[in-house]
Amino acid sequence: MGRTRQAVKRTTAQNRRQGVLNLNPMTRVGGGFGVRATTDGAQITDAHVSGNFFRGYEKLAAGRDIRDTVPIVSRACGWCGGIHQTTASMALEMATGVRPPPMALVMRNIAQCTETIWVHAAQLATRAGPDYCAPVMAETTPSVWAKAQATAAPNAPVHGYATIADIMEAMTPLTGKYWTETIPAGRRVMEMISLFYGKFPHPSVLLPGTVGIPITWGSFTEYFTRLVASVDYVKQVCALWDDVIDFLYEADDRFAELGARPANFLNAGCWDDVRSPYSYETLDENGAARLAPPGVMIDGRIVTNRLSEIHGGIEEHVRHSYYDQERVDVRGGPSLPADHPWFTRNIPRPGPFDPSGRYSWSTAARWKGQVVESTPLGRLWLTALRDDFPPNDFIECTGDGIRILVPMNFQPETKVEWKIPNRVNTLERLRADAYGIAFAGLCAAITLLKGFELTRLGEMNSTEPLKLSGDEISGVGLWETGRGINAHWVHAKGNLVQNYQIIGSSTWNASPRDDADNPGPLEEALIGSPIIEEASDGELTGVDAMRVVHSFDPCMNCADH
Amino acid sequence: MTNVLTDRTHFDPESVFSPNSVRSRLIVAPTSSAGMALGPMDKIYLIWLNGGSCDGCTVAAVASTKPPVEKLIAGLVPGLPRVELIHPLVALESGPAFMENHFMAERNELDAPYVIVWEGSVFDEDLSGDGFFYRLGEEAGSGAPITTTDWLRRLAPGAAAVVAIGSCATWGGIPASHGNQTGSVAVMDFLGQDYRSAFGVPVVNVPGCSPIGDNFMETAAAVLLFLQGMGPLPEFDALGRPAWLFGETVHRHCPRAGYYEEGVFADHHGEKECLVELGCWGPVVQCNIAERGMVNGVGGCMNMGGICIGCTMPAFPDKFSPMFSIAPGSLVSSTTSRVVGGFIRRMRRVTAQDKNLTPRWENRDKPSGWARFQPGPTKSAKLIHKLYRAYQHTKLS
Repeated sequence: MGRTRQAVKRTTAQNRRQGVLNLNPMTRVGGGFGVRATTDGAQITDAHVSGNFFRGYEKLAAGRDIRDTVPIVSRACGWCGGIHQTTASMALEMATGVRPPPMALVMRNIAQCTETIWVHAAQLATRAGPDYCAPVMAETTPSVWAKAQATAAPNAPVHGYATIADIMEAMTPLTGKYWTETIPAGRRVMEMISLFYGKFPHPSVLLPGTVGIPITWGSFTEYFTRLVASVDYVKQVCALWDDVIDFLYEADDRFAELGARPANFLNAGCWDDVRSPYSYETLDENGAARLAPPGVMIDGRIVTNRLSEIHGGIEEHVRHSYYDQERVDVRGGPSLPADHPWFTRNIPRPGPFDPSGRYSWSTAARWKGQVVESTPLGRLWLTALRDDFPPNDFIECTGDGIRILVPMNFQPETKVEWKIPNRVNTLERLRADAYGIAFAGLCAAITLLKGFELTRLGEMNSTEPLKLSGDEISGVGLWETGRGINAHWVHAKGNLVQNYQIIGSSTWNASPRDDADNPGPLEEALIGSPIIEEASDGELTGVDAMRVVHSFDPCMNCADH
Repeated sequence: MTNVLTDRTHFDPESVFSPNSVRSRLIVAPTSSAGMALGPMDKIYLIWLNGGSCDGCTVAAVASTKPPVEKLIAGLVPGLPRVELIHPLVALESGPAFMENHFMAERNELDAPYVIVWEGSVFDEDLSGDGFFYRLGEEAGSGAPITTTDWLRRLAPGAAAVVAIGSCATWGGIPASHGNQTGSVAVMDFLGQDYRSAFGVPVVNVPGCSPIGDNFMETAAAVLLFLQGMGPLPEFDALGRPAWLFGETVHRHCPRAGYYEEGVFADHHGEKECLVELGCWGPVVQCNIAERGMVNGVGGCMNMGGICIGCTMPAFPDKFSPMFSIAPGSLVSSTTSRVVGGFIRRMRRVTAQDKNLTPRWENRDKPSGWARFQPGPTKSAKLIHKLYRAYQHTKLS
């Protein structure tokens, strides 16, 4: 077929596929989520993403004994319950002044690295991966599928798949090797989380100042053996996603535009230095000492690395959400803008889906009015740029990337290297998820060695008792899940919670339009995204919109709560 | 503007984005010659619906090993039908194609029976006015949103069974507790006492927040084996819980229960003794996590160091609050065990000392190089041992 005829055919098909893409629900997303997009056949011209459900966790926490909030609010999300419990504990630690001993922080860091691995691994194999599996490629982009069958996989010695098509076969849900191997691998990761957080989902041993597990040599050994059993999986995941992503760029250059948006990121950082106290006054020092550093980046340039400034700039907009906002009087609170989440409360106001008015149960989180995404891509990017990563045997930040030494198991020791991409798009978010597994895994190893060191020093205590004063107190927990920032604010009087606020990573990423009508990061990424699928009969499957959405790994459990 | 997604009247069973219930018609079940299909059913649909949930029960189900979930949905467990999962977190298809599964179930067009698994509380959508607390799909003609509560109302009568997974679905849980703004209730509250499934079964309840994945899968497997004519009818208690899993208090199998018996209690979190005085409700809570663990035998609550907050019980969470204070009943019971258990513990220590001596070592130094100073038993201890042994041997005659 000649080039002109092909172009004519494409244009005719495009004309027939102008209209609305109404993906309600969008599947493979945590919680209820919907996308309503319009398309001119060649690209997505407008998009509204909506959180489709509401439970009211902020009100459910209010009126309770402050300690009860830790197990209660974590139950907002079953994917990252440990992260919510950690963040809730940190908010209360700031409010009450109780300081967890180093061993408790070691256990938290290890469990949180592991939970991050879990989020990434499940995201790649079961939520985003199926968008690129063999049956999907063959049906939606036959030309790309034909190339995949003819293209040898450069990393075949690592992951064992001869061609790109073989990798895509492996990504097929229920039958593919990569999919079926990830479920038991994920189960092992859940065992690893349980070793330090008691149980998963929804840990059983956390309180402010405490990780209540009597630590023994056995705890670390049990973790270590499972971590070692996971290292080959890590190498394979990085290798196979590199192959698929590089191939897709080659096969159709529109993949570079899929889900593209400016390099605007916000991350709170995670995995504390075990000797660094967490309080409002020491936010900056504590943040700077984290393994994954905090930072806000606008157009690829770091605006700030100071955790206090990041926190101070957080805004929560509700103009397009099913809430009204009211002010809360907090005595003794820090000097922050009056509409800062520290001083506000959201009152639910259910209503119909109205794209020009209110259309989501998620609020719109913004930083000083800027639309920023909080994803693993930002976490790796900010980490790569730091020049003070603690000396260690595994991770090296080079300024333009991160080199990670993955130890040997059945496969030899391998150095994997993530490079800062020259664009922010769907595929680079997925690549960051893959390397995020290696990064979190080796951060767990670094912390494990710290745990051995504390054991040698005899610092086995993991509990600082919490004393209840009954005073009016308030605090914030700033931490990070696999998907991005997680923040909890607590205000209490007489040991009872007066007000509770949660802003999860998806409250940023999957947010609706804000008070200035700026689309949220996911909406931004969708608008202008190309329609790559080659539907011959004028009908669309919506796979390109799914790919953009899944690259953010939105979780409405965290966003809507 | 026109809808450019595939028209829901023309789903091609060969298309990967068609509803699972259309696609799965093409899957040929393993024949009996492969020794797999042992009962009348070769497949069953599992429609997973969410109300006020957190996906934690889904995550817990992924952690199951008996049988592993990936084997069940691939049809690889001998004797059990292949479970065609219609779950928003697993489905390839989105939007109208995904919802067509539900419409087909409602129109009775599925080619096999379906079971509903409900995760989360059931919202009272009357309270949401012209909005919704959870919308899932739209009416074909009008485009009006359908709530998940609607789906439960519409699909429950035709279901082979309705299984409530997790404490929100079984009892109401956290969304239905103090501060409930959504009118959340349990599945049983919503469907009522007289509800029976198409196969005549009341709501099956697998509680826990989250439940142990294996508790859910084991119950599901037991029900499926029964329906296949292979297994016995599983026993459920008066609240619809699998009786063999929730018949005992968690304290009875708790690895720390021995400390309770001897009257030794932890003062702080992170200690190894009984947690009752830190607020543990284990002695009155029906649960099996102490012996089963959480994931593949690993983790749990008291076995790891966490107090029992009562998450499997209908009263969770409000009647267990404040969770981290000692339960009033413990004041009596733990004081009693301190007095009685304290005496027993001391007596046991004396006996244990004797049992650490071979007969040869009784009157000389132990030959171990691990400790220099090794005092032998005191005179009174020796006397006690002598009497004890004399009594021990009277049992022989």
